[in-house]
Amino acid sequence: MYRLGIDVGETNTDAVLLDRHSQIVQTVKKPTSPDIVSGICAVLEEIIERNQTDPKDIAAVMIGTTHCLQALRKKENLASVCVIRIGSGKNAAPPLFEGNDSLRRCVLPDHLEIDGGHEVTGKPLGMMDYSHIDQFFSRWRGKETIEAVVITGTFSPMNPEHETMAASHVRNIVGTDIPITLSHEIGSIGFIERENASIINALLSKAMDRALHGLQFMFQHFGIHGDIYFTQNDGSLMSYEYALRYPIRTLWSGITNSLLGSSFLTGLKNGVVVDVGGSSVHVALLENGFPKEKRRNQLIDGVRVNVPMPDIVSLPFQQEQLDSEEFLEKLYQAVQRFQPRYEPLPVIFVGGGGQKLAERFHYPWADVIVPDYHQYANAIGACIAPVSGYIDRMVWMDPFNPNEALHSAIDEATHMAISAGANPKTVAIQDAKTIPLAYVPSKALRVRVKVIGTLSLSSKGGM
Amino acid sequence: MKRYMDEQTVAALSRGAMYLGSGGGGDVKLTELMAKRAIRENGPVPLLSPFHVPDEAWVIPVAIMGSTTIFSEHLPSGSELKKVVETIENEKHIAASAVTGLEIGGMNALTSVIAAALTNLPLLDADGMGRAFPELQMTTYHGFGVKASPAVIANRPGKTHLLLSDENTDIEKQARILVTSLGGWAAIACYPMQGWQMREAGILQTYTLTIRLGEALSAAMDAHDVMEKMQQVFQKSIYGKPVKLLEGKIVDLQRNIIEGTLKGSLVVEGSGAYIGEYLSVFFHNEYLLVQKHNATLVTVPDLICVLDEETGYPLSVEELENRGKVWVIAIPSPFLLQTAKMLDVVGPMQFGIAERFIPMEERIKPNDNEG
Repeated sequence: MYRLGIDVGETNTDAVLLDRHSQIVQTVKKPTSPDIVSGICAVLEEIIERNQTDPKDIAAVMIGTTHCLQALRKKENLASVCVIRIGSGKNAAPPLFEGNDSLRRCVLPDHLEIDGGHEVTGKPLGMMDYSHIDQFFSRWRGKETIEAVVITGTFSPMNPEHETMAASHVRNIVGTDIPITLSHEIGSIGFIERENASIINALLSKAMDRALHGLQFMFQHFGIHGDIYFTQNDGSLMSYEYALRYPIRTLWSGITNSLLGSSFLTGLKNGVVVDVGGSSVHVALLENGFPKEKRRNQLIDGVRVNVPMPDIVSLPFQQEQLDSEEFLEKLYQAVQRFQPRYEPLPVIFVGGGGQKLAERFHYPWADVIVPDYHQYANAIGACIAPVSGYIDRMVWMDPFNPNEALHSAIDEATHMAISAGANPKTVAIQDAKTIPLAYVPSKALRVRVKVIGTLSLSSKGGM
Repeated sequence: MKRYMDEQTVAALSRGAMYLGSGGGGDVKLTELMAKRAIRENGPVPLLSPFHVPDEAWVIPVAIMGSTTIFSEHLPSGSELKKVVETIENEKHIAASAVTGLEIGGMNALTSVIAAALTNLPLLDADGMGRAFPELQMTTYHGFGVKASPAVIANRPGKTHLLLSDENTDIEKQARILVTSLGGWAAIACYPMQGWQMREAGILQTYTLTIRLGEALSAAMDAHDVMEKMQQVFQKSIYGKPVKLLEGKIVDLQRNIIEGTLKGSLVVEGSGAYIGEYLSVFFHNEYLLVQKHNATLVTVPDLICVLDEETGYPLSVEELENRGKVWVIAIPSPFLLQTAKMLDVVGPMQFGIAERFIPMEERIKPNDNEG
């Protein structure tokens, strides 16, 4: 039984085959194609046709890709998005108000605001009037194309009912081909940030759909019937269907994979990782075996969002800059940003240009490590990625009982992880907390729980 | 000198106001966004010096009170802030010459800007707290004899609630009950007063200072950097020079809901030059008290900030994380808050701390290893 890890980077598509004892069996490197799929195809040809690997032995395929990140950077294949707000937000600030023009251009200039949503207690704020939705879409019909829809409701992380009800109504109007992003599936408390994140998810849906078109068919063509997974921003796996629905969750998966891979290759749980790619260098912190999360000021392309994302410093990089003192100084500063004030951590170089850059990087404070197989760290990281269950929501409790809220969230997250393919015996709590609110007497509580487990290859994942 | 607030000034104001929240005052981002939009559509807001406003001109302080988390979900339209100002004008048969701040710490630094932009009035450069406090009577306006009544509350366009009482504490009680029943937050205008009263009862030029702080911190990289810049800015102000109390790791965090409000404490274990030292910080919506090995170092109304070591951001009580690496710093409060009249309203006793207020400068010996 093998696990096949594939990393689709900007320049190269790498693949690594790991056996059941997590030993590296094969490595392949091919140039990346614009559509992802043909690059993966070239890699598979090498593994299956040239190296005679039996496709039936491949139990699972894990793919990490920076495709969405590139699409967002180059503003390529972004969907034109229609925004619907339920409940509040009437006239507060238009959607994507703080975004740059190139992003805002993709959002239809007119958005819809309807009554509804919920109060902090979970009670409805008002009744939804579907006729407003009908009128809104009939005005658009035949004018500008709508390629994706975003629906954000007041307090939907506490009660998503109105979002889902509106979605099924919109679905009847726009048909099944247009992706609908519901904000409660994307972000947490904070209407504007959650809507921003949902809009970015919707913008990316087109790029993701095009890139993955025909992927499943291709794996079948090669005789691979194992499950296909994608790695997410937090380093855990999600299914092919989820990747299509939540492209925002793949944005930083390439970098996350290199962190997991670095941990695997060095046996270290903590360190500063420098991932050297074709046109950029990413620096991030490995903390207890996982990427350090960015907790404040999360921005995507200058837009504030409230989704979990790794804390990364990205530096543009060309091969000619290898000997540039200026670049090396910038890199040093980036590494220092992640170093604790006392007891500096080892610095791990991975990625295609890792070896060369490490040789020129002088670091007197701690070890500089370039592990074997460093050029395949991303693909290896994808291979060993865990499965997680994550909950971040608000609850209103009467009577007020924080422990009960926490335990039921832990149970639910555990269930999520197991249904996503985690081996129940390995599921453990990574983070669990409750956060009360200031300034008003209330029974509201924010609950954040994350559990992780290792992928069970025998089970068929549902997530 | 007349100064105008544009979108860039608003960004600086918002950055600075976070540091004056003393752990509370709410997230500034949403009100910042709304203030920018109001200015984009209505033009820059004139910032009026308190020394240039005529004695008899009317000034109306505004704010949003309640839960900032609920506010971030259940968005305002902005017009609530305009409505409360206009309702007071009608009620008192006056025409306001300016709006002003009630609370400079946190999101309310921006709500007065929104109100000014939407009513086309200038913003008077002053507030009544000099930081963030949880209750309406905890202002210098109250302390120096201004009546909070008539106060007007609104949280949806077209509907206002008038509160009348001779007792300012009674206005706070009525308002708090109303805000909870209105869904968790509301815009409020209260303490309408004239120019001469403002000069006596307000903490003056706190907007200019906060903007200056925000501008100085615009390029700050980490706690070290932030501290240095803060010391430079506050040294030439009505506040005192900020002091670093400790850097280290949060090793214990207790956050409880007691009688419906957020109360608790954190313990920070020193690292580096502070190894072997422990600080306890107590909070009730805001940070109120710092003790080192049971000896008190700082109490309210002096300001206490917990900075994220890596970014230098001031962490609110709601944002604290166990094991987080932080700096605990304190800023001496403006002298006006340390007067006997004000200590009766915002002194340690008012927050259930059984101690007399002693200014932090008298408690903490100058320390050479700071910063």
